[in-house]
Order: sequence, then structure tokens, then C-alpha cells
Amino acid sequence: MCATHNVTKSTKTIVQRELKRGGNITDGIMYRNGQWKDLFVKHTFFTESYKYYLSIVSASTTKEAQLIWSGFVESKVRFMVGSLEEHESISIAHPFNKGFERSHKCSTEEEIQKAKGGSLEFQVKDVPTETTNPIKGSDIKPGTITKEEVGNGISKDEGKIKVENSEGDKKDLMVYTTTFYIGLELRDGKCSPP
Amino acid sequence: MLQNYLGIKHSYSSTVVCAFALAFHTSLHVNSRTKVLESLQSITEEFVKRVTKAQGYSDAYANSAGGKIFTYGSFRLGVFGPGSDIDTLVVVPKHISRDDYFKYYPDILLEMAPKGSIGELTPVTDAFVPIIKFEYSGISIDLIFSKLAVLSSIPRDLTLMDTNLLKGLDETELRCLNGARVTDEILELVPQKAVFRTALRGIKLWAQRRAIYANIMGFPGGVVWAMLVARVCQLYPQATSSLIILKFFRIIESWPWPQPVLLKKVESGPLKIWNPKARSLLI
Repeated sequence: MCATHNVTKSTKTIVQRELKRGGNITDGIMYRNGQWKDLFVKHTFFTESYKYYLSIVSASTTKEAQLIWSGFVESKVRFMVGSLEEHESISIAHPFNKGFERSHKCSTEEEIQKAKGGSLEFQVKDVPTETTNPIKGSDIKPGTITKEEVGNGISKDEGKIKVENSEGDKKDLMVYTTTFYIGLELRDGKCSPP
Repeated sequence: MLQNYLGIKHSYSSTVVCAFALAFHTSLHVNSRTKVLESLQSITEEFVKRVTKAQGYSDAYANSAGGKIFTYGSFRLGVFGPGSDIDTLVVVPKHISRDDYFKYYPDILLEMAPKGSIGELTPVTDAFVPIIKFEYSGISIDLIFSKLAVLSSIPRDLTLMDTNLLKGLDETELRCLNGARVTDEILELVPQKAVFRTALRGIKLWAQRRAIYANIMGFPGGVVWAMLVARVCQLYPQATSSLIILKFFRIIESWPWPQPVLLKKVESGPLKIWNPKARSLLI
């Protein structure tokens, strides 16, 4: 049974780069001018690696539904990566390895639409989730990301959202989202990052 | 040359250990995991017993039909961290089906586990590897399932190494058994288990920090990193963990993909081994 079935052109390139980086650092360690801690320095996916990002938002109104729905979307991200890397102006589509879970408290249909569209305006910050735990401090900083909506991806969510308070009832409605990020490296001459 | 490296690596071993300290578990975590696994073993036996009785078999047979859980993945390899899932496989005798598993197992689990200890119970029936996910006393469990078509009872001392056990199973069941068999076999094939474990912890920490660890996203997952480290261990059977890590990057970077990384000669057997789209790693 083949164990690397899911690897794409982009993810292979990224792993190769990381292996090269690791090799350079471990060479340094062997020749006594490098340190182990350099090997374990955190990635720069959100901070300096990309100029353009694509975010894929999956959303549900219950945690239970979101567990299943986000898992389904997660399992499809690599197919999107496969299509993106075929695009003429994209050289690498780099999926971040984890989705980010967020909870949002909305009171109108409009707010729900915003939360689904990736807005962090209604996010409940004090509910820790696996990937947005404030203690870990590992969450991404919202303002630093260039978002581009994924038209088709999002419209798929429509059926999942049920508005239970359509009669103007101001009861809070929770929206649970899991967002997946893809960093885009463009081909030379296509406005690629410096 | 090799001795040179061996000499150098020694002075760095302690640094490596410090760097990994956070990735290691405490004995407290181990104990709670052991309890959860013991409980899952009892629940599995109860599940087998009830389904056997419901099918009209005698009480005597129902009581002796057995059932066993196997761990695989990072827990089995001995490289799990505080937040790791425990990958667990339920193995049952031939008369119990996957439908029975999804129909009865969740309820028996809720009934037999201490009240309130089970959370986020999510059965996924239509996945490539059908699975019941849940949290048990705060520990995430990924529970998969397979019957063995050649056994009418499952003794507690069963191992899965014998390829004859795979006879008469469908693709899904083979995939479920594969995980556990692969983990056990990787451990069998490395020259020094302790060296392998420490080196793999280092590579895992590196891969997680660099965000290149996730099978589902198209990166190598736990099994792949384990196999790559295992291969390097085979190439340097006398090396310590730090030397394995030092060698790992250049060896894997210059690997002539799609030539497979083989830990042993490819066996013939009922398992479909070669994937036509294979890019690399064969088990």
C-alpha cells in the first residue's frame, strides 16, 4: 500500500525546501557552527512566506454538524490545491496543515452571512478551540491576511445554515467555522511577492 | 568519516534531549491512557458478546468469542505527545459486521464508560476508513474496526502479523488492519527501537513546527515520517538518535523519487501492495 498517495506537486516542493533547510542546519551542527534550536524554528506561513492567501471557510450552526462538515471540507482541500497548481499564473499552492476553528455569535441573517464569509467581527474570543486557544498564542493575527473569497466553495455552505430566528427574534445564533488557508506563490512576472 | 560523526554526535545528544523535552509525555498521561484502553478492551468484549447472543448463538459461545483492541499510530510507536489521539483498532470474530459495529458499539460505549466521560462522539460510516471518533476522559480516540474472516473467536494474545488473517476480507477491512500491521512491522524492522523513537520524535517536532505534517493536506503524515526515519535507521544501524537526525535531511532530500522507500522486500499476499499512482513509499 502506498503511503504518500495525497502528496501533490506543491506539497512535494514545500517538503523538499524544508528538507534542504534542515540539511543546511544539520550540516552546520556537524561542523559546529549551528545549533539544534535553529532546526525547530517555527514556520513563517502567515508572517512572511506569501503575499497572497486564499481562505476556505466551512460553517455550521451546531458544533456537531461542524465536526462532520469541516472534516469533509478538509478532506477536499488537497484537490483544490491540485487544481490551483495547474493554473498558469500559480507556481505553488501551499495549504496550511491545520484548519482554524472559530465560534461566532450572530443575531441577524446579515451577521451570519458575514461570519460565513470569513469576517471575524462576531467571533467569540473566550471560547477556546483546538486551533484558536488564546493560551497557546499560536493563532494567526487576523489583520495580516489578504483574503480572497472562494466563490464556489462558499456557496456550498448555503444549505448548511439554518436561521431559527427569522421573525426578528434577537436570540443569539452561534455559527461555527473552520477556515483553511492556502498560500499562493505566483509565477515570475505575475505580480509575485518580492 | 562515520566515526567522525559518531564522535561529534555524542556531545550534542543532551541538547537534542532538551529540545524535545516538551514533546515528551508525563507518566500521568500514560496512566490515564492505559485506563481508557483497558476500558475499551472490556467494552469491545461486551460488544462481541451481545452481538453474538443477538444472532442466536449459545451463551457459552458468546462468552468465549472474545474481541481485542490494538493500538497503532503514534501511541503504538511510542512517540505520542500530550495532545495526541490514540489510534485504536477493534478486532472481532467473523460473524460480526461493520454494520453491527456502527449500530451497537456507540451505545455500549456510552453505557459502559463512566457517566459524562465520553464526548464529541462522531461515527463516520462512509469514510475511506470508516471510524468512530470520540473523546474518552479528555483523550481523543480514533476507533476503527475489522473482523477477521478466518477466526470464529478472537483470543487476547492474538497478533496481526500472519498474512493468512487477511483472507476473505474486503478492501475497507484490509485498510483498517493495515494501519496496525504497518506500525508493528516498522518497529520490527528498525535495528534499535529506542534510537528510532527518539529520532522520530525529533523529526516529528521539526515537521510540526515547519507545518509540513498532515496526510490529509497532502503532506507526509505520521506513518510516512516514521517510515522515512526507519529507513535512515536501517542505513545506520549503530547510530544514535542525533546522528539519525543529522543524516535524515540529506538522505531524504536527495531520494530519487518515485523510487520507493522500502523497509523490506515486497511480499506477495492477499494485500494489494502497489498503488499504480505510487510516488514513493511502500509498506
